[in-house]
Amino acid sequence: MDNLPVLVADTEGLTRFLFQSNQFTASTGRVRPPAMMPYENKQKQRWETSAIRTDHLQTGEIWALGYVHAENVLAGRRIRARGIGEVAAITALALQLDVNGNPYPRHVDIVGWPNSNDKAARMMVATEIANGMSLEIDPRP
Amino acid sequence: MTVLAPSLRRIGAFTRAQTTAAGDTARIIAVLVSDAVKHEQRRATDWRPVLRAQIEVLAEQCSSPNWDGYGSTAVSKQAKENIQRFLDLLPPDLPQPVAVPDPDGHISLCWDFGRDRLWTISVSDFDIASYAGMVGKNVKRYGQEPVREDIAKTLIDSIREMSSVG
Repeated sequence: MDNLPVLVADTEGLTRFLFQSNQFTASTGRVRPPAMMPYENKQKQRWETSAIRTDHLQTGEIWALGYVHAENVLAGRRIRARGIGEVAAITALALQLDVNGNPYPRHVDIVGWPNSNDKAARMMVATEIANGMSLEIDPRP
Repeated sequence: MTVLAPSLRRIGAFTRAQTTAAGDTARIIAVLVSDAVKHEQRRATDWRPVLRAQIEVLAEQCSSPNWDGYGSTAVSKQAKENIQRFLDLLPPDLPQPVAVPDPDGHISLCWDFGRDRLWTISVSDFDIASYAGMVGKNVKRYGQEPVREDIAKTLIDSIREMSSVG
């Protein structure tokens, strides 16, 4: 299931797991912009937002990836929902996807964010991404 | 004789304090009733104390690094106080925002009125409010404003503009 090409196609689907209930609105199926904001990876000297490629996966398999690789209940991180988007929406904003397979093969980093101290510019990009996303709530009871 | 028309309970938000009497006493009572109405009005619509409490909870939940599983910075006491101070500057008649943690450890306020109508403000440790939003399809606004007592018109007007569009 992880024999995806290194080059990410614009038509591919992406998911971002959300760990805070205030990162989304369940009643309207909307993802809030801060959920898509990047964090500063000082080692790589870039801003990045983690996501996973979801093509050819069943919904249950996508959730399973999150439970196994992203969630850490003991550390207080329980997945609440996932934001769903398309690669085309990311590349249309002049962002790129870094397929680094770390910490798992389907993991990608959304990179190319406005740099330096321009937080407002990053917020604007995150707003545009979130605005086009849909939402799925964690199906577990 | 001074006659106060309705009891305080039945005074609506826009009811004027009515009295058939004239004179100083009547005027004083009218002012008192008017103040009471305003107080009730504020109490009923001011969402800031509720949000303030929600921010306390959020800051506690995100007080350790990596709260989002993606390497986020912990929300500091300073970050919490920054956004709460900013909150107090917002007019209470604005629609209520939601507080959301940022990966950089700050806290944002978000207004979401549906597709293409959303607005976010985040306050830094240096009292700079960064904002970004969409006030319609392909209508984007973003920038920074210093946090000060007379809160920047850009921030408030955009929110009002979005909330007024059905």
